[in-house]
Amino acid sequence: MKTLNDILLGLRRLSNNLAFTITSILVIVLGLALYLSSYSLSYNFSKPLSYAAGDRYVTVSTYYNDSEVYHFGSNFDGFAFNRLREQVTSFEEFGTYRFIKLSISDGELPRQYVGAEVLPSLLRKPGVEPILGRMFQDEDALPDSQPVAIIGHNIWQNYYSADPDIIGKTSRINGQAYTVVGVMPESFDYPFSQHIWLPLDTSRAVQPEGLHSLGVLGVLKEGVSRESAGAEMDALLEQLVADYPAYYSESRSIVLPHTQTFVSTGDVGQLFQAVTLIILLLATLNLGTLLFVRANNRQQELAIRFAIGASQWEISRQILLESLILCVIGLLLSLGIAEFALGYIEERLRINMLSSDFPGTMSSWIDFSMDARAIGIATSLTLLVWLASGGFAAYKATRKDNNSVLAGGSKGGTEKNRVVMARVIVGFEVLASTFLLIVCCLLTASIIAAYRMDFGTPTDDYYTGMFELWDPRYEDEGERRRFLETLQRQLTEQGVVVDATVGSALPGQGGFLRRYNIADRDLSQDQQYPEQTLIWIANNYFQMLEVPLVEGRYFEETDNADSLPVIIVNRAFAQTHWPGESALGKQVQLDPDNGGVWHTVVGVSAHIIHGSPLGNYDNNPTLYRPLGQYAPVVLSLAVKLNRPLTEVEAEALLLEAAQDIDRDLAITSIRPLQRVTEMSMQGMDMVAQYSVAFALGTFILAIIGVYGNISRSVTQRTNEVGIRRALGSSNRHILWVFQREAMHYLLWGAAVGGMLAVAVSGSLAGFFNDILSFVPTVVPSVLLLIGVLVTLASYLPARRALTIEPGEALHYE
Amino acid sequence: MSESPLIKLEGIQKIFFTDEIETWALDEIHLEVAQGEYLSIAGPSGCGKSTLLSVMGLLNSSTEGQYFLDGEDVASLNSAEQARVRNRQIGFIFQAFNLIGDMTVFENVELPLTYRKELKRKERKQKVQEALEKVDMAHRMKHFPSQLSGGQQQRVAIARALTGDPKVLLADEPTGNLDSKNAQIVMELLDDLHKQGSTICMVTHDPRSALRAQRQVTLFDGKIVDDQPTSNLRLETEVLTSLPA
Ligand SMILES: Nc1ncnc2c1ncn2[C@@H]1O[C@H](COP(=O)(O)OP(=O)(O)O)[C@@H](O)[C@H]1O
Ligand SMILES: [Mg+2]
Repeated sequence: MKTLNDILLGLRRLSNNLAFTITSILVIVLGLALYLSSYSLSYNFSKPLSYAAGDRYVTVSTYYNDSEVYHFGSNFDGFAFNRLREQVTSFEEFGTYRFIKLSISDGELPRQYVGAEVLPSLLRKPGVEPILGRMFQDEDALPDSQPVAIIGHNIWQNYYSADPDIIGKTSRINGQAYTVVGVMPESFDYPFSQHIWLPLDTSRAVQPEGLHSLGVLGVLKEGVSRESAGAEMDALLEQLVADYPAYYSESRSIVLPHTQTFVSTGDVGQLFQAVTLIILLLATLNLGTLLFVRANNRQQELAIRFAIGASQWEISRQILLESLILCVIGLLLSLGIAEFALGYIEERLRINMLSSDFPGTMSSWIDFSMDARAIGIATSLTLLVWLASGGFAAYKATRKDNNSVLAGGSKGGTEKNRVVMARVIVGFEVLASTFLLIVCCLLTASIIAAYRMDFGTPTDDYYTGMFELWDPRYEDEGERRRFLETLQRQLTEQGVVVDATVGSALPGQGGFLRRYNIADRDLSQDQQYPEQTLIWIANNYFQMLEVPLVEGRYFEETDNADSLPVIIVNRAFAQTHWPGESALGKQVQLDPDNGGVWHTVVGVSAHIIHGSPLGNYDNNPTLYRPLGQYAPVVLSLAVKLNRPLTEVEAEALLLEAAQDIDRDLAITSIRPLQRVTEMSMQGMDMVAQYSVAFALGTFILAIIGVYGNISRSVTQRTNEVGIRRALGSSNRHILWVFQREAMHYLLWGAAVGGMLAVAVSGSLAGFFNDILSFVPTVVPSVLLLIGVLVTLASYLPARRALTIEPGEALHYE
Repeated sequence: MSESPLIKLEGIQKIFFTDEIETWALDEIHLEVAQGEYLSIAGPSGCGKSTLLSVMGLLNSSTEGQYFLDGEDVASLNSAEQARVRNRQIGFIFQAFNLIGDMTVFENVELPLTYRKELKRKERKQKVQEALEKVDMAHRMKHFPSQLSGGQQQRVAIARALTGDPKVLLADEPTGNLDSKNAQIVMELLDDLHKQGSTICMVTHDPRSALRAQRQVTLFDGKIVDDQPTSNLRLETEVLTSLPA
C-alpha cells in the first residue's frame, strides 16, 4: 500500500515537472534504443538455426595462405570429402552440398533459381517434413536411379502456379527431365537460401579432383566445440596432403557457425556495439546528473523530511523509485522504437542485399524482430542504468549536510572533491562526445563519398542481367562466342534496345584477380607476381558504356583467337607502370608463374569502378581482354534502352531474347545498372544511416549533458560571480574566467577524444579505404561544434549571472 | 587633506521589485562618513542595513539619490568604472565569508590584485603575504577554505579585503557566523586596522561589537532613526548588561 502510494506520488511529481521527465526519458531512450538496435543487428545475423540442435550446425571450409591473402570457400572435392567423412569423429552429421543455378524451362520462359545438390542425409537432418510428397532417400542419389527434384514453396507457388498435383510430374531442369517428388515449406531455405534440391552422389568421386566445389556442412556432436572439431579437421587435412601431395596443398580448416558463414556484421558490427555502449554510458551519466540535480533542487524538502525523522534509506527510496519509474517508461519506449527501427532495417536489407547471386544474405533465420533474449538484455541494461544513475543521485543527496541546509546554508565554499568530480564527469562527456561524433561523421562521410563516386559510366538508361554457360553444349569456347554474338544481335534488333554488350563484369561488379608481369622489368617481389582485376569484354563495351579512351584504340573485329593477343589497361594501370610515357605497345604477361602469354597494350581506358567503391577501387589498376580472344563462362549483359521499361517488361525482353537462342538458358539478376552500382555498396547506406543516428544521439546527449552540466556549474557559481564583482572584477574578465575553464574541456576532449577517434577510424581503413582523408574536414568541424556548445554553455549563464546586481548575486542560491 | 567626507549619501532610496511587490529597503538616506571614521550600523533584522552597505559598496544600485565617494559621483559611473572603484577603493567582509571554494587561501587573497594589470606576480605575492601576516594566516596559504575553521576563513576574507589597500572597509555582520572567541579575534583585527587609519563601516547586531566603533547609525524600516557617537551609548549598554537577568 505504501509503495503504491509512493508510486502514485512519484507519477504525480513527474507529471508536474514535465521538462525534467521528458528529458530524462529522452536520455534513457536514446541510450537504450540505439544500443538495442545495433545489438540486434549483430545478433540477428548470428542467431543459431531454429532446428533442433541448431547451434551445433557448422560449416567447414579450408583456406590457404597465399601472399597473406586468405582464400576460402566451398573448396572440397568429392574424394577428399568421402575420406574425411569416413575418418571424422567430431560430427553427428558430416554432409556436403554444392550450389547450382538451375533453369526450369517447362513454362513460357525459362527461369533460373538458386538450388543445391545435396547429400540426402544432410537434407533430412533438420527434420523438416515436406508439405507435399516425400524427402530424398539415400537411394535417390544412386547413379542409376531416376532423376528426382524437391522444390521449394516459392517455386511451387510461382513457377508451377501451386499445382496441387505437382508430385510425380516431370519438369525440365537444366534441359533434363526430373521428377518432382516433394515440396518443402516456405521457411525452408536450407542450407543457404536455396529453393530447389537435387540429390548429390559423392560415391563416384573415387579419384582426387573429381566433383569439385563442394561445401561441407555438418552438425557437431553434443559437447564438441568448434575449436576441437577444427583441430581434428586440420589433423585429417594434414594426412590427406601427406598421402596425396600431387593433388592437395597445405591448408587449414575453418569451422564457422552455420549462420555466420556468409554474412556477418564483422568489424563494423563490433564498432557499432562499442559506440552504442559508450552512448549508453553517456546516457547513464546524463540521467544520473539529471536525477541528482532534481534531488538537489528539492534539498530543502529532503532536509525537512530528514529533520522530521526520515532515514537516509527513505530519502534514497524516493529518488530510486522515481528513477525506476523513468527507467521503466524509457525501457518500454526503447523496445518499441528499436522494434520499429529493426523493421525498417530489415526492409532496407531485403531491398538492398537480397540478391539470389549471393547465398545466405537474407535467409529466413535472419529475423529482425525483438526476441526474448534481446528483451532480456534490454531489461538488465535498464536495471544497470537505474542502479547506476539512481544510486548515484541517492548517494549524493543523502550525503548533504542537512543541518546547514536548514540553517540557511554555509558559504564556506564548495567542497573541492565535488568540484573535481563534476569536472571529471564533464571532461568524460566532452571526450566521449567528441570521440563518437568524429568516428560517426568519418564513417558517414566515407560512405557518402562512396555513394557520390562516379562509376565511370552513365547508369540511367541501362538494364543488366547475368547468365552462365555451363551446359556441355558450350564446352567449346567458340560455341560460347557464337552464343554471345547472336545474343547481342538478337537484342539490338528489338526496337527499344539501342545497343547491347557483354562482359565478365559490368561497372559495380567485381572481376577476378589475375597475376601479371610486364616486359620492361620484373615485377615479382618475394617470388610473387602482383595481381589485378582482369575483365573480358565485347568490342563495343567501352563505347556503349560511354567510357572514353585515354589513348590507343578499342578492341576490334580483328582481335580474334588467331591474331596477336591484345590487352587494354586502364589509366591507373598505365600510370602505375609507365608514368610519363605512352603505354601503347607495351607487353603484359598474364599468369607469369606458368609462363603465360604476352599481350600487347593497344589502348588505355578511362576509369570504371568494378566492385564496391568502398575499396580502393577509385585508383584500382584494371586489365581488359577481348571476348574475341577468349569467352568465359560466367557473363553479364547490359542493354541501353531508348525509353524506360518496367521491371516486368525488361525481364520479358531479356528472357525472350535468350530463349530464342537457347530454350533452357535463363538470364538472372535482371535489374537496372543503377541498382547494380547501388548493390555494390553492400548495404552501406544502412551503416551510414546508423552512423548518422549515432551522431545525432550523441549530439543530443552532449547538449543535455555537456551543455547542461557546464551551464549548471556556472549558474551555481553565481555567488562567485558576486564575490568577484565585489572585489572589482570587470564583466569581461569574469566571462573570460568561465570561458577559459570551458576551453580546458575542449582541449582535453580534442586531444584525447580526437586522437582515439582517428586511431579507431584508421583501423577501419581496410574497408573504408579513404576514411582518414576526411579527418581534415570532419575533425575541425566536430571540434568547432563541441567548442560552440562548450562556449555557449559557459557564456550564456555567466552573462545571465552578470545581469544580476552583484549584491543579489552574493545571496544567490 | 580634504575637508569633504569620504562617503556622502544624499537622498538614497532603494526599492526592490519582486513579483509585483515593492519593498522599500532604503528611504531618504542622508549619511556622511569621514576619512578614518569607524562607523557601526545597527537596527532590527530586515531594516535595510545590508542594503545600505551594498549601495555603499556599489553592489546594488540605488533607485534614487546621489552617492559621492571621495568626492566622485560613483553612482553614475558605468559598470566597468564601478568595478574599478570596487577593486581599488573598497574592501568587503561578509558574514558568510564568501571565499571561493576551489581556490586556495593564497589564490583567494590574491584575487582582487589579479584584476590590476600594473601589478607583477612578485608584487602580488608580496602584498598577499603581508595581508595574510596581518591576520595571522600566512601559515595556511596552500589550504582550501573547507579545510579552515569559520574564524580562520573570516580572517582570510579580511586579508582579501585589505590586500588592495582600499579607502574603506565594508563589513556586513563579520562575526555573525562566528563563536564568541573567534568573534573577539576578528573584532580586534578591525580595531587594529582602524588604529592604522582605515575607514570602516560595519553592520552588526552585537552591542559589544558596536561599541568598538566611534559612531553608530541606527536604521528602522529603511530610515535612519538615530545617529550618535558610541561614547553616548556606552553608559546605556553598561547599565543594561549589569542588570540582573
Ligand atoms: N534582493 C532583494 N530582493 C527583494 N527584496 C530584498 C532584497 N534584498 C533585501 N530585500 C528586502 O529589503 C529589506 C532590507 O533587507 P536587508 O538590507 O537585507 O536587511 P538587514 O540586512 O537589515 O537585515 C528586507 O525587507 C528584505 O526583504
Ligand atoms: Mg543583513
